[in-house]
Amino acid sequence: LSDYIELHARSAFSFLRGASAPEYLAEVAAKLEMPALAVCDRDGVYGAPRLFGRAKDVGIRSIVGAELTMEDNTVLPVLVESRRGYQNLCRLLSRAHLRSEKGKASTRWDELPEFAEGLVALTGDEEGPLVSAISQRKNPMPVIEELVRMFGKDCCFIEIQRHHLRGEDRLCRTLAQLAERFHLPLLATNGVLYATELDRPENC
Amino acid sequence: MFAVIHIPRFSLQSVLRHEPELIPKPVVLTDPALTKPCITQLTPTARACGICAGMTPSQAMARFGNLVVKTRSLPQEQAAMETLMQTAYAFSPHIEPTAPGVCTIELKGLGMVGRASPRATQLLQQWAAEILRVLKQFHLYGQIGFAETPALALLAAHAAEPILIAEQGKARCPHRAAQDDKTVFVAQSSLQSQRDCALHPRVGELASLPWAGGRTTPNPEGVPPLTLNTPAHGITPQNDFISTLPIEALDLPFESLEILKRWGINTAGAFLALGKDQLAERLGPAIVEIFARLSSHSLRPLKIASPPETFSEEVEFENEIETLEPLLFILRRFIEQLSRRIELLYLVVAELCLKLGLTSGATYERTFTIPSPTGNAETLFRVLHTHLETVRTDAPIATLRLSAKPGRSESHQFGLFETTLRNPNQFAETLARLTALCGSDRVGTPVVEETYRPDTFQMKPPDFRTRAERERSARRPGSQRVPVCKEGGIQRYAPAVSQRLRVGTSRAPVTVSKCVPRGLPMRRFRPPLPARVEICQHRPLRMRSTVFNGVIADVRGPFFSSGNWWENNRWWREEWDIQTADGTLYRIFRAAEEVGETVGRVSCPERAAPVRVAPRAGEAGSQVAPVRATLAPLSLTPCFSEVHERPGDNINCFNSFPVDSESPQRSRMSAAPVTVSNQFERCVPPLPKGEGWGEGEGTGRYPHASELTNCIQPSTVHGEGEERVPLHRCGFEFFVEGVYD
Repeated sequence: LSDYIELHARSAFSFLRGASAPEYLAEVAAKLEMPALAVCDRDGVYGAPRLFGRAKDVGIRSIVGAELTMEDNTVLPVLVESRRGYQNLCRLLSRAHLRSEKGKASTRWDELPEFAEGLVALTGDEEGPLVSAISQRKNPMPVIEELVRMFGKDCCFIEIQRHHLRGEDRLCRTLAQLAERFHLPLLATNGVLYATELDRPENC
Repeated sequence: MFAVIHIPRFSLQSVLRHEPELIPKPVVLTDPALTKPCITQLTPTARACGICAGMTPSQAMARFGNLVVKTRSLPQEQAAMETLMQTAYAFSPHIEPTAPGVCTIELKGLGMVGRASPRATQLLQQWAAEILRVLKQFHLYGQIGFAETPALALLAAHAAEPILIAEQGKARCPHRAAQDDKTVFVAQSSLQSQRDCALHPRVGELASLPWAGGRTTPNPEGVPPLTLNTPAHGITPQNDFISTLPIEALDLPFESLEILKRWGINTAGAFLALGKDQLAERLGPAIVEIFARLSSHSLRPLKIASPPETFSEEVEFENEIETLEPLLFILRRFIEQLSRRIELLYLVVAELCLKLGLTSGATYERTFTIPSPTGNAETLFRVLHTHLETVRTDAPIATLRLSAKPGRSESHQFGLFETTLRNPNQFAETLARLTALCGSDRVGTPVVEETYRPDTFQMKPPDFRTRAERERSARRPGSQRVPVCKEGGIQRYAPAVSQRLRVGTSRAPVTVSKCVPRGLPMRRFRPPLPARVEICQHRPLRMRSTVFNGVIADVRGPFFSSGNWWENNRWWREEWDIQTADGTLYRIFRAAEEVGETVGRVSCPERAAPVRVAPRAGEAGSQVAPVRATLAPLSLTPCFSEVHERPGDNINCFNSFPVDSESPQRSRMSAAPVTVSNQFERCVPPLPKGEGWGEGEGTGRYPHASELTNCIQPSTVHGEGEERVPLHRCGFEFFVEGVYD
């Protein structure tokens, strides 16, 4: 089996973002010999049942996750670690959808500690709170401190992605330095939007 | 007081408006909408030839062999009506489009209506003559009638030759004054009024008029002859247009008209003398409406309308146009008409829109912004002429539509350091000629495109507005994209744009470009310099170009970018930052798209045929497009080779021709594709003299196409001795984009 597990994939249930169906993602992950696959759809766990069913067939483990749109419009990816975490995630999503208009969701930062149990937080990609702070030339350390305070040091990961883009090295170096400073693990993801290259034209 | 402008034979005049030379000739008009083709309108000359309405065209042609037969055109009628309205609006703001070819004007507030006097009548005549003069410029010949009510003014306009002022006299029926207020209208023919007034200073006995007391037969009711009071205004009535107006002009029902004719009633005056009640008893209540129309007290409110703000002329050619001359002929007339119409509003032409309808169903549309708005027809015509000289249509032209957008004449207040062109229109014409010679994508002002494709720009027509005008238009709502919010350093624009930004590059470049400060300044080579690069494991090892020839000391990259893959013009590229042994930094890239074109230069023939690198077993090809955000495992190694490396790419030369030592060998190898097994150890051949665009090595003479035996056929013949050959067709794949200072 591969050493790599994709922990930040988006299925076609993330409208206008993901392009591949959860079943196809599971099949390709199995073909790449990944032992597990996490799908984090935007503000929902819509693809989780289909991913679970197909992943069981192809012999990989499915991990439930979601991208939470926060009140400051940053996006925080969380992964479910336990049954309790799944319950908390569903409650977070329900609250976020109930206070927003249809099709949108807004999770408040102050309610995260209440439902943080059983969840693992990633710092996210360019829409995540950490990279957003770096992009805005703000101090990123309070963001990490806040995430660590809410989720705990063991359940908070500095997410790093590399898409071979110019200027990416500096961002990756900054994230690595932050991870080292806060003694947080560095988690590599690909920010998957489609399973194979052929699915890319549908990603619009 | 009201005035009515009536354009007789409106449909025919609309058609002949752009062919005024046909107006004095015998011309008839047919309506294709009718089931049976027949003549609906005709010119007086045609009538003099014995042709009358209702004839079939063949019958008319039998009467007169040189008869011109035209077909009714609704677009031209609409344009003529717009012209009529705009002309009327230039004289009064209270206008009503009463009917096709009929416009009613209320004279209230114009300062010409008051107590009737010779002076007021003279003013009205001058005013009407001015209207007719303006209409004549548009080749519309109208008639104008003045009266107290719109209905009477319309009757006066029908009877005018070409101006008729119907003044109200005082005529009362003594024994019926209480129940029926009759009015008597006296008219002045503009052509004879002065002379007749002089000859007959006090002529005005109503009894002498044929429809009142002057007739020999008593009226049916036995009403005693009416007596006419002397008009209070002192104008001597010369003729009563009501009395002489044919009864057919009253639009009576056909049955009533027949009865009245049997009674010997042939004029409106005789009809009025019969009395309303008696006629209503005998001919029905419809007669009452006729009486009300002729009454001076039945004022109907006008439906005031503004003239259309569009200025357009359209024509459907009876014979398809295949050459430029007839098109320019009609365009010149269109421009003259439009320019005059806009001039009526004290404006000038700011924009022209040309639309050509082809027989194939396709349309050609082009908008011309006049740099310095003008009403000069010659200048406007040159703009169109210059452009049309380069236009080639796939099919003949069937319809032509030219519309103009009015604007205010140029009045700029320039700043101290702001200069202007002496003649912007002439400059624009020069640019148009250059565009015709060089192509539209090579003339103008370069503007950076909204794309992630590096160094992408497009040529836009120069903006002749002053800085103040540009700022004013930029402040105008909707004239620019306004960021709706800021999220994490990313400016969010409208949804569609936001999606495009995300889709194009998986959203990452937005953040990266924002978070990373500017690096070293780079001087770009425009166009990029072709180069040959030897690559091993996605790392350039050696490069040969006009700016550098040797081993690459250090490399950063590759950096992938792509876009427009959802369209036909998709592109992708790989970039490297390389450092040479002497410490110079270059940016090179490999692209699959057409990077640029060379004008006047041709490439070596052996580079025309790219060499195929033999794929390994199970490999579809040697070219691998960069793939991001897939499920491929990620690596954090600095050179990223593990991520995009494919089996078999360990030694792979992406060069476009075999990396060999001698030129003759290259020529031979290009004929037969060679499997390159280990180019890594081979040396890079020298670049021929004169190849490339940089300074230094490429200063030699470029070989002419005739000197090459296997040269690529130029895609476009640009001029004598100059061929434009796309670079990607020459086999170049690597390019030097710039050098870091």
